[in-house]
Amino acid sequence: VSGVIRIVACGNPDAGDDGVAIAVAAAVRDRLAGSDRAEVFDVGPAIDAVPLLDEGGPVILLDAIRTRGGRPAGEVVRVEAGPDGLPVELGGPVSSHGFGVADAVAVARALGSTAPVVVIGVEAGDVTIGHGLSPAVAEAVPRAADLVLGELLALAPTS
Amino acid sequence: MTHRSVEVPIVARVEGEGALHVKVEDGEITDLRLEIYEPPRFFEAFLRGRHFAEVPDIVPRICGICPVAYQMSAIHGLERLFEVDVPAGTRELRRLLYAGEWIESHVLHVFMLAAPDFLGFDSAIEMAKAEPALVKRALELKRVGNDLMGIIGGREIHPISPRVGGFSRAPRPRELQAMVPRLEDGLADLPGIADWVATLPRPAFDRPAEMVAMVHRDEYAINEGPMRSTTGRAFDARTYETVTREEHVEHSNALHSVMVDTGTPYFLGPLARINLNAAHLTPVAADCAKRTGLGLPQSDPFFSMAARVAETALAFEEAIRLIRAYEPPEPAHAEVRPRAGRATWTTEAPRGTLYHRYDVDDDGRILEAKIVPPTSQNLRHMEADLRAFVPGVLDRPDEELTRLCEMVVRNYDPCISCATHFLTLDIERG
Repeated sequence: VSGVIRIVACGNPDAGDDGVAIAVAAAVRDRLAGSDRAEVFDVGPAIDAVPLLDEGGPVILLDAIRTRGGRPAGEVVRVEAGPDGLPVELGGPVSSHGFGVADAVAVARALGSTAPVVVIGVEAGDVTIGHGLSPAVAEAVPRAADLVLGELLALAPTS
Repeated sequence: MTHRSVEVPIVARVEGEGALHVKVEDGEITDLRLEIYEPPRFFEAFLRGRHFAEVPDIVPRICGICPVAYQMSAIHGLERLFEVDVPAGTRELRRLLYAGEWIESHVLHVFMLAAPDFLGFDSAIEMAKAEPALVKRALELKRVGNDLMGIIGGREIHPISPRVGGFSRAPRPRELQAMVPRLEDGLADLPGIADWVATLPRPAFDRPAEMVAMVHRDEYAINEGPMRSTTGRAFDARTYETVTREEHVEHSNALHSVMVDTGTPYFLGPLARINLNAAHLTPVAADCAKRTGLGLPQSDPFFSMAARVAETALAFEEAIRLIRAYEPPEPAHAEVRPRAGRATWTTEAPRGTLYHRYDVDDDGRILEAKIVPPTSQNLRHMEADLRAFVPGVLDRPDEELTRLCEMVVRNYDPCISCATHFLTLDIERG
């Protein structure tokens, strides 16, 4: 695989479980300390992830999600984006931001991005402004970070 | 009797969430309610008891799109109360930081929310498919604003360098100068964007409105200046709460703002600013306003997008001018000695005037905080717009009616405006 691997976290760290991706990114950063295997970005609003999806290298997107129909809070989901974006059941309008990762991937694809994209999402529970992560979602952070590191190994199995 | 109700819930939105309910009986609107959840109420409570130095780190968290606005209103207000003499160059650096926020916020609204509405696209995704080159360029322009905020603020999402007294660290001239070529390229695109905006189909909706914005003797007001209205009112941050009043509304946990004396709503934001600051438009901004077809004075709210394009040009021009003249404040911040009293200030957030008030004790602890964001001040005006607009489009099918209602709301760029379209329609017919 050519190009730098980008790990891109979306979400608001001050809105309960919406901040889970930022927490996962921090855990990944700790565990990657000293390694140049990947670059980690906190972008906040998902719209700002779009330019990072169009630079050639593979992207691992992290976000709090709400799947259509709902899963228990803290469940970690891995989804690969296809040529048109993400499967619709993840891209439901009830993403925890108005413009969610599914929208970001769809816009990037519409603009010609062919980057391999994997989303590691954590099902959000409480997204109240001012709250921290709910217990179930906080417990999911190391599991999600494991999954991200597994993706990295699969993408760049060196060292 | 024919009942028709339209429900437009907008859910799980971090910047705020809301819903619009419209009920029509026999061709008349019998109920119209716009509900918006507002994060600042939580923050007002959260600020109580905090030390003043913590305020600039707490308030930007209220909004992921306009964190700088919250910092600036708070910092300026506290500095006035504490009689701080900020180092030379601080004022200019703050205006530059704010220009970055105007760029990223305005570009987001023009291309991702307003343009898809005006063109009849269901979403920004449809628009990206139809106009990929334009959307790509828009994202690059937005990036310029984000990067300016990152360089000056020390971090992009919630800037950390602004503080009471100045900045914790001022950027090096070299870092800022590297932005100039990108700013010049971006500015060169804006007249073409203004021409394109002029071609978009725009619903004509001229109606009288009292528009309110800050003004300044020497420049297009952003960080400093008293308030003026298009009907001749003159006030400032110190008298804000005697001229305007927030009302509890039964149907909503949001507060609605009205003028105290007349009980009438008012209209904040780019269109109000451009009406009240027209004399201080920078050259390219004035040219862009003209190209969009925006004649002044102008009270048709659907010209807000044109005003945003002109203000984007202004932010680019101001950024270039300020960077060319930039000398880092030395020291980066002044010493601050708190004292008891009341701090008030307004600044022009991308969406309109943002008012802050802090009551502080001798040790600099916050006793009480009040934050009145532009979205909540515009709420009553949005409802009034909808009441005036809906009767003219009642003959349209439900789907189109819903889209048009959303368009009226989104035109204000309220904090809920970034919400994706998520509509369920309840139609009752008697």
